[in-house]
Amino acid sequence: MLNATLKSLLSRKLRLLLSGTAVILAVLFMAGALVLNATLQRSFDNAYQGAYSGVDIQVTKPDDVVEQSIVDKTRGTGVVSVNGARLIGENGKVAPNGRAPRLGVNWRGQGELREGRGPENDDEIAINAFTAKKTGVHVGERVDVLTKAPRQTFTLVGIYGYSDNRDSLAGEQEVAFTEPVAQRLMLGQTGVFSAVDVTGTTVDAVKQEIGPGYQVQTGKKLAEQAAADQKGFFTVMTNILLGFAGVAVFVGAFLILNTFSIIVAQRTRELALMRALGGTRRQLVTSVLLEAALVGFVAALIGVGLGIGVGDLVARVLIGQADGTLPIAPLQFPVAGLLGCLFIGTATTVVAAVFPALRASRVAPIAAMRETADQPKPMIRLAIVGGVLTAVGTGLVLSMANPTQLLIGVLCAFAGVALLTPLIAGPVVTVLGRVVKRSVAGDLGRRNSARNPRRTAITAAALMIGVALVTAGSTITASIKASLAEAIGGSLTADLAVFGDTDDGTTIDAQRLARIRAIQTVDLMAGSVNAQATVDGKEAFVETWDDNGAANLLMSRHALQGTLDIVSGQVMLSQSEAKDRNIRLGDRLRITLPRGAGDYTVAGIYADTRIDDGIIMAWADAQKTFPRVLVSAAFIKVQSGRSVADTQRQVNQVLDDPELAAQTVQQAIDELDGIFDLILNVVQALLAVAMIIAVLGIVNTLVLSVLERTRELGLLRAVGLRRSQLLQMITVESVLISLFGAILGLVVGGLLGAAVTRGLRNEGFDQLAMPWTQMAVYLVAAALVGVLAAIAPAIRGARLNMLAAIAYE
Amino acid sequence: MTATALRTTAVAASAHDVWKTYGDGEARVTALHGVTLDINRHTFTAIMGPSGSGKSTLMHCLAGLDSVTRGTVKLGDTPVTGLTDNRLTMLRRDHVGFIFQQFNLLPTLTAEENILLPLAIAGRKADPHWFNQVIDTVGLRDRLKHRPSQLSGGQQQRVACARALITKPDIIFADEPTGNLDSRAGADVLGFLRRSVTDFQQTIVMVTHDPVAASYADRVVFLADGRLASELQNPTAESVLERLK
Repeated sequence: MLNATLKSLLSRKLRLLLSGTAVILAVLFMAGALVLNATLQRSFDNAYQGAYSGVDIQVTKPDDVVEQSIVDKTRGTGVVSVNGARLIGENGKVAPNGRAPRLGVNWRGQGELREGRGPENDDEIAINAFTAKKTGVHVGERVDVLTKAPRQTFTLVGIYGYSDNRDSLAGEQEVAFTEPVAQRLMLGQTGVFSAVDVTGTTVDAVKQEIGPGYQVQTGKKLAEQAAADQKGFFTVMTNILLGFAGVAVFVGAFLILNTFSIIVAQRTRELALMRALGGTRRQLVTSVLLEAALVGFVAALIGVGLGIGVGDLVARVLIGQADGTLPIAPLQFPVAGLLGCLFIGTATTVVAAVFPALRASRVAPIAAMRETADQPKPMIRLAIVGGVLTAVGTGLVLSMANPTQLLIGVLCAFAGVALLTPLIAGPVVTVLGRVVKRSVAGDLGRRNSARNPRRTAITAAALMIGVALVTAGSTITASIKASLAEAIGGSLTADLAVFGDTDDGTTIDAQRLARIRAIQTVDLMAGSVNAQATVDGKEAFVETWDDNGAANLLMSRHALQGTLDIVSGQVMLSQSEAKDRNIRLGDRLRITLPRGAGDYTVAGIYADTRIDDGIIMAWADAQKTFPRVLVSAAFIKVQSGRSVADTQRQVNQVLDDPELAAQTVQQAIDELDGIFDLILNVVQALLAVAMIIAVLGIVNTLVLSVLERTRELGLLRAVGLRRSQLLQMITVESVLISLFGAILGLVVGGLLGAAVTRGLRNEGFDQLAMPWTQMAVYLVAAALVGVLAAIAPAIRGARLNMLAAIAYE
Repeated sequence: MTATALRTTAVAASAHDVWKTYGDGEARVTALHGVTLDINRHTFTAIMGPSGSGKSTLMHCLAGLDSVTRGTVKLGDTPVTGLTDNRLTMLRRDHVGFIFQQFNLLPTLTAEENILLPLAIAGRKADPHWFNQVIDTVGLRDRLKHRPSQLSGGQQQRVACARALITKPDIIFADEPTGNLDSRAGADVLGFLRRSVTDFQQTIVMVTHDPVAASYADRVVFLADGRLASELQNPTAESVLERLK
């Protein structure tokens, strides 16, 4: 039996290659993701181990500074290293640094000097080579640095790098000041540090020496923590790749199922003969499953090999983008993971082949003696199973309980719809084919695609899944965008906005605020400050506005209870915030802030604006309690009838800031949309993967159709069908199958997207927007896929030896 | 290549010193050894011979389905040898009809659509008068909307005959047309082929191994080992059988 299986395998190389490709792709993504992840992890570990190589033990104080006395006690080195030092580059702008920090540090001879010297005077700085590259400044130049203190000018006296010719340790920008300057600018006072490094002792010894209240950690531990923080981003990348792999596996399963079904159908006579000669059903099932296992294993093996290559390549590209700040570690092989990939590849193939195998075992021995025909089989059972699965899946999706249930629901719904597709394949394709009915070749192609609904359906199902996923993604992003636009456009009456960040000190000083307010065309303006606080024992962000009355108008706040004109000792909050915290009008809230705690009366509750809902304190109270009262966001309404663009220009002139600029509200919305566009791009890349596999599926089906219909093709050629018409006929069949899959995908995906969007309603996303343009693009892409897939089979069909096709000897 | 060009001579198809070999070297097989044969217009010719005698090869070469190794094949006045695939396809479409042992109907088309297929491919309309005449002759009027799978073997072959006739071809090639039929259905089809020569002035070349089928022809050509062995005019089943012995 094994021998027969192997022979049968080898005689169908092409088909095996096609179904194997799906497995290869799926396993490639999985293995690639794992190798990439392992290699990057190791690279980061190495980099941070280097960064902390000189540190045995580090002393810090959670959320606070470390005093000079600790340095004295431990005979350690005081370190200032705080995010938020921004060097203004040659172009007058601050160089953005993504997620990596821009550190302000004290000069203590760190790294390896490449040029110049360390800062000796208070108006001198040195920077790391990465900062120099990013900003384009040179030694000897006068440069400006922004910190939490006002902008200040320094002379750049030195540039330093690190071992192995690295420009930074992990993509950070670093500005080194003399110690007192670093302390003043970065910590706000002299005589304190952000950490103390100690060498030649143990954690316990240090702990004993300095007493409680401090965190004492080894350099090794710190390196691990720092690396882990940076790895987060790459973990997302890995997860995306694994997501692709998941889709590839799921879609590939359909392709495998289809291929094996067809192989079984073609081997009906052979299988019946085996049965007639005494082969048991079990033997036939085993034979097909064995074939699947072999194909799956070999393909998975190839996939793992290619995956390792791809993982390595992507790791190099990513690290290359890090501007040489991260030395790549040698290629890592996560052995357990790779074995897992092999297993999943093989198992998927076998599982997908179970149905075809069972069908093979049901072939009656008498079939060996009969001419087999495409007898349409009843599809009632299929309809019932498909209907139930679809219903269950839809139910799970609509319940929106948790991501796992959502995922299971989506998978169920897809499988269910896939089972139902044979029922509608015939009619839908026939209707679609109306367009091409005019030409004989087109009409023949149309009839061919409606001829075997099961095969057409399962071929189309692979494309359906891809298109459905991406349509759902597009629908969700389009809806979220629409909701955001609606929320912002509906509530925010401001024309201009300036967004900064309290954390790294990008704030607007009071003087500039006053000058902006004084611009003639400015009608209303309000600036806000945020702070982390504890409200009745629970963490919360509190907010305060320099002109609360203006803010009420700009944010369209409406009082539901009490007043929105709060005075000292009062707070107001949004309806949802009040509900979440179970707070009522007139309640006394205990609010603890860094510079003081106090009790405040809830004076007003306002209707949710969906753009700025929270706890709002009076400006006067914030002056005494907030850590820093620096406005980080400002909203401006231009007098009606005056030019917004002109005002924007004037505001920006006043701001004259390398980081901050006034945006129109539309620009702000576009920026927010950009994030969702990025997500959408990822989803669309997913479609590409699914489409590649779908193409393979269609090619597979068409090649088989061509083989099966050899006689028909020969006849058509004999009675005068030109080669070009034959090509056209096969292309039409292919395009109709893909369009069918795409339309199903658009419908299923649209509904899925709508269901998820509906689930997001409670999160404030209440708009449903269908991405019609994108959907049209997907449909066109599907048609192109159809044309592409038809190329090889059509050429094969056109090259058929007519005589061999019709001769019967 | 117009219809008139083909019709100017009394010969519908001819082979002159036709050689056909397959394979190379050791595996070289010569199927036809310099066959010369004229098929006259408005005649019914049967080609007979044992298996491997080259009768099917000869027919395929005459019909332009297969190329010859040496020699010339003409359909009417048109040399078939050396035509491009597209011109050959057009020639077949417009001037040649085919009937196969396996019927070769398209399962997706109805009987009527199958019959009209060559015209549809050529983008022409059927002459309704001719269509009715053909349908009535083959007796398929009440089966036109049926699919091949709903027809008996005899009915399917009659559809194939009608398909061959509908274009009013200059010559029809039939390859064992009764090979898959029982004797009654076979007799129907043969009677119909005979009538299309007698009544509609068609030209038919039929490959067969059945003496009874050959007896419907005007002339029987016997092949042996790729050579013309002999021929018989106005055959009967008995005389054919006698010759085969």
